[in-house]
Amino acid sequence: MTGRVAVERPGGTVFVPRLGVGIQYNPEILEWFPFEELDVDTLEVLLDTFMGPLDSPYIVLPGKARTLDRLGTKRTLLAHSNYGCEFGFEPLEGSPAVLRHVPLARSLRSPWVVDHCFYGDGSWSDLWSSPVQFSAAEVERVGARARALQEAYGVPLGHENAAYYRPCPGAEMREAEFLGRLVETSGTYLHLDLHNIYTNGINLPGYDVDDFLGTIPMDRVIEVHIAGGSWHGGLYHDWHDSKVPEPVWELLERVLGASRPGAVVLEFQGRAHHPSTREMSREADLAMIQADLERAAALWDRVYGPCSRVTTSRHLANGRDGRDGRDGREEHLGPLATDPPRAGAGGAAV
Amino acid sequence: MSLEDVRIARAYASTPKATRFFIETYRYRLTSSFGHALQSAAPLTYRTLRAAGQDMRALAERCLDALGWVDMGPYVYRFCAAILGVLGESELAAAVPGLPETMALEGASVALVQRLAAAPATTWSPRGEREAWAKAPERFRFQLTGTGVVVRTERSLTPWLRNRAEIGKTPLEQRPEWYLVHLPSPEESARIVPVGATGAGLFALLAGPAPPEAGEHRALPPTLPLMLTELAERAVAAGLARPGEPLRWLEKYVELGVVAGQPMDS
Repeated sequence: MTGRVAVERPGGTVFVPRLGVGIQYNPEILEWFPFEELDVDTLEVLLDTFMGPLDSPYIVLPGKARTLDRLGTKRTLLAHSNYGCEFGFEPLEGSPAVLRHVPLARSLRSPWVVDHCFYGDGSWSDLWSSPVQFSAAEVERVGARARALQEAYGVPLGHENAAYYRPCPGAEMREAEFLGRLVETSGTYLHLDLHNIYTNGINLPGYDVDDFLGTIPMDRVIEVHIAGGSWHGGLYHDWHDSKVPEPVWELLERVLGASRPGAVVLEFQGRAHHPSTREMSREADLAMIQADLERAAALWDRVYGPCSRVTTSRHLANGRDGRDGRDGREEHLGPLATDPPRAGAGGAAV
Repeated sequence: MSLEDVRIARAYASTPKATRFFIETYRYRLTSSFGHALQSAAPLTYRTLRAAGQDMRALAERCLDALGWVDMGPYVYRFCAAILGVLGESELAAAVPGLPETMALEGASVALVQRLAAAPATTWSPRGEREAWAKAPERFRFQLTGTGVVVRTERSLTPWLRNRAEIGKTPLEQRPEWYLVHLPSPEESARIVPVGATGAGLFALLAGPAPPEAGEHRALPPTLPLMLTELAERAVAAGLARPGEPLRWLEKYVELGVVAGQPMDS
């Protein structure tokens, strides 16, 4: 049994299943990448690629519900929201996050949801250029919206740290401090994108990766992203078009030792963000992606034990996670878990 | 610009390389959204343009220039409608065979989907109800549900609709044709069904007094519901249909869900 992680919430304890290693189900490589044949612990679903437009009656795009049903028969699906516009300035109840991502995530029975720290107001293409402002006022405003959105989802909501070419003007604090204060204010969680941290560390003067990881509350990390990128025009880009760089593997090992995420998810995308991004192909990239998946799984097993992932687990009567000498938090789920697991929450006992 | 705007602009100007990549990313993703909007909401138009050899990214940039590079985000049908408007005013409308026809049909489907965005689920009648009306039409009055609209085109698109591989290849016959554009349910894509002059005329009787004109999108709220006998009398008197045809068309429209029945004793 892979176990569960007890995550404290203001209203009680919720349980995050420990799934293992997965990959993002990305439409940019869908034509050739064998997502459905892969033996991975989870697939991360980009809710935006399945949601119906707000000016249509479709909650999910026609024909896509069957795809999600099929994907979900073999593995737990994780919901990822990029274009929810939840941190913009228009009413939250009219946002794609509330109108589309909430019902979609519930239909997937995703045990948690991760979103992205961007602005958006009925707009999408500008998101990637609009990281939220790291200010005290935005801690409060974004925090209130995050809290409300997590209530709507009914499962833990983790916020992904962004890769950005420059911070939003008006920043008053470091990004890591902002994220820490945000989750403390809102009662939400963190989705740690290690390649985004690495990218910012290369591009942004004074951005300290060690300080970032030393500042954020590691006990609030529920998912981790890793990816690769490319150099172009004098900057390094989070384009998800290359193998995971060695420094990111080092960061992953460090983070796995300091936190207890439910999953590590790899991202590969290819041409999406910029004319200079390359199209990925089966011939050039399949072996690379598979190698990175295997390496991530091996690292997870080395840190958490050989039976700690969904695809490798065996039933363990006492709930131990297999790590020598450490029972992990699972052993303490009884006394700490003041509330029963929420019905329907992924791998959690119900 | 306000002083705050100036301060913000100066902040972005102080990091020109970063700001440039922000802008380039925005523009690239918006041109991608152009293609996505057409493929999703106007696939016939998209394929017609591709078949005509159009560079879709270059076309996207020209259209976005006309639209001010506005980002409509999750309002994909609104974006598509704006694109079709720009294309309709462009030289392509005259230069690409079939394009005015695909844009007429898909302009109607885009408008229909938008109109039904907030429609209650009761707008679409269950199949069981439709079968009851079809079995005993004399017991019901019929009216439009608002889930369909008839569009007239000046060329027949039917060969392309039957086989999408023929888009841009098969020449289109220069003769008017009428198509029903309808949304079968809130989970399905819009569909296009040829109905001919008779079907269009009968649909128009259910919609209101005036017959549909070329390119006009009629999906008006229904007038007083009609009994089958009333529909038949008016259709035959107007020369729109021969005896027997109104019933067959009514059955077809009920099956497609664009017409619904109300019991006469209700």
